[in-house]
Amino acid sequence: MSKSVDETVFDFFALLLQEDDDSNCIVSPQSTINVESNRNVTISQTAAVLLDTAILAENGRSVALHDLEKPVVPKKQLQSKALPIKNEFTTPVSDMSSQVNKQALEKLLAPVLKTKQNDSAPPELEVVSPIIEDIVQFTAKTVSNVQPTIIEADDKQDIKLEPETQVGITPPSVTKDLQEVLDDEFQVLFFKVAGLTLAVPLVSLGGIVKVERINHIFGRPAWFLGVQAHREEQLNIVDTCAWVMPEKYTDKLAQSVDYQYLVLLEGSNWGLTCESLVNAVKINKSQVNWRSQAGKRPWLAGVVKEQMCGILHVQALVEMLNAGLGCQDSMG
Amino acid sequence: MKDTRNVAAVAASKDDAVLQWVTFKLDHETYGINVMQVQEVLRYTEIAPVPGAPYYVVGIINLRGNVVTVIDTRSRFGLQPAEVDDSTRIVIIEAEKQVIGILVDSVAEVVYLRRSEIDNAPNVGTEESAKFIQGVSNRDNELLILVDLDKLLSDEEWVELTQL
Repeated sequence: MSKSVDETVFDFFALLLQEDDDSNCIVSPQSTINVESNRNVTISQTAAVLLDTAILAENGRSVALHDLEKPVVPKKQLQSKALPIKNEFTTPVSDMSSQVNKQALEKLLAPVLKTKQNDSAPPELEVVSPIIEDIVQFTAKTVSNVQPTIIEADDKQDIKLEPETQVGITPPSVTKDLQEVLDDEFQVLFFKVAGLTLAVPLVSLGGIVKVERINHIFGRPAWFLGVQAHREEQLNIVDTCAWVMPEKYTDKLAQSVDYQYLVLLEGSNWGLTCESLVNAVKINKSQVNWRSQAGKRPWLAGVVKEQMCGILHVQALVEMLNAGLGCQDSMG
Repeated sequence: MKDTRNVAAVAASKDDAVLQWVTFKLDHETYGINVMQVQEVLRYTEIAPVPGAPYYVVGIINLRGNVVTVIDTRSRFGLQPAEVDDSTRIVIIEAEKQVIGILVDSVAEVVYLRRSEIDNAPNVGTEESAKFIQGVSNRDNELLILVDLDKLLSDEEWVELTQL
């Protein structure tokens, strides 16, 4: 990923923080320090952390609580697993002082927190687009059938420290309808656009189609790429990068993005362009920070904590697209 | 019984009338206009510019003694300008009781489309030019964008053309 794209994604999430309800937003100074001091932190992760922070603030929860929810991996285990992990979402080993702080914090919190023993590392995300290059299209059913590729999150987790009150509780929110549809454990597909990773629940996935001939139709918004024929129907193609971060979508960025697939939104003929498909993973509802207020981004259901990326509220997104609204347009 | 079937078939065919469309190319996309509104297709000839004309007017041509205003279709549709070449054509059309020419990249063919084969264009257009499109049709995996020539210009703009 080029530096300019990194900066763009970073700036984009910084901008997302500047919402009306940002007065409640608490940005952890630690996260800023990590970005500056640790060059290994990927920008997408940083952006997702910022986004996560913003959402936590919207939920009226403090960042400190969020920090407590993060899994604290014992140093020994971390050392032994640091090398084989290729996962870009995995937090790199930071400096020793922060480890000492974590250990000290763990000791302090030991009486009030339950430790949860699990087997192994967090779900590993690998770019699988080269593997599935041959796949022209597959429906959500097909995706759900590909069980071997789905990594059981529960089977591969490190020791976790979680406050008792957090387990199994999801706050009432604008995503209530989405949460009702989802099982406690549900599958999500991760896909990438210009360095930004997004997740879509498989129940909301209409299918995946390879980008072929897109017909441009004049007089449409800049984010509307055109239409593509698919099974004797027309798919409306969204330039995802232009829609999600229009203020950062420069000509340079537009030239650098290389859309390969269309992520079809269930119950509509809308397709989101993406550069690569990352993985399909089974996660638990409690692994998502669900948004409690629609704010300016009703299309964003929340943030997947472990992978640090936004999860889409497809129904709200489709409503916005049907209304011809851009990312920053108001539904009212 | 047979008469009833014939009546039903005729009614169905009336509902699903076959329309002819002249297709032309602009910026690698195919557009269609109602054949009934097309008078003739001309090779590109020199177009005399008109000072003070609207941005979408290329100029005027002399068509057998009649002055015909030529519209820059690319400009009107908000597309990037392109150089004139051997395939460039001026399509003479009649719309809103006026005869005008539209400059296109090339003229392709006449196609037959059933009304049922025409779909609505994606309704996400906010720009004024979005209203020019009356529908789309998928033919041989190629999208045909059907243009409503009567809406190519607003009432005021049609009047303005007569006063050039």
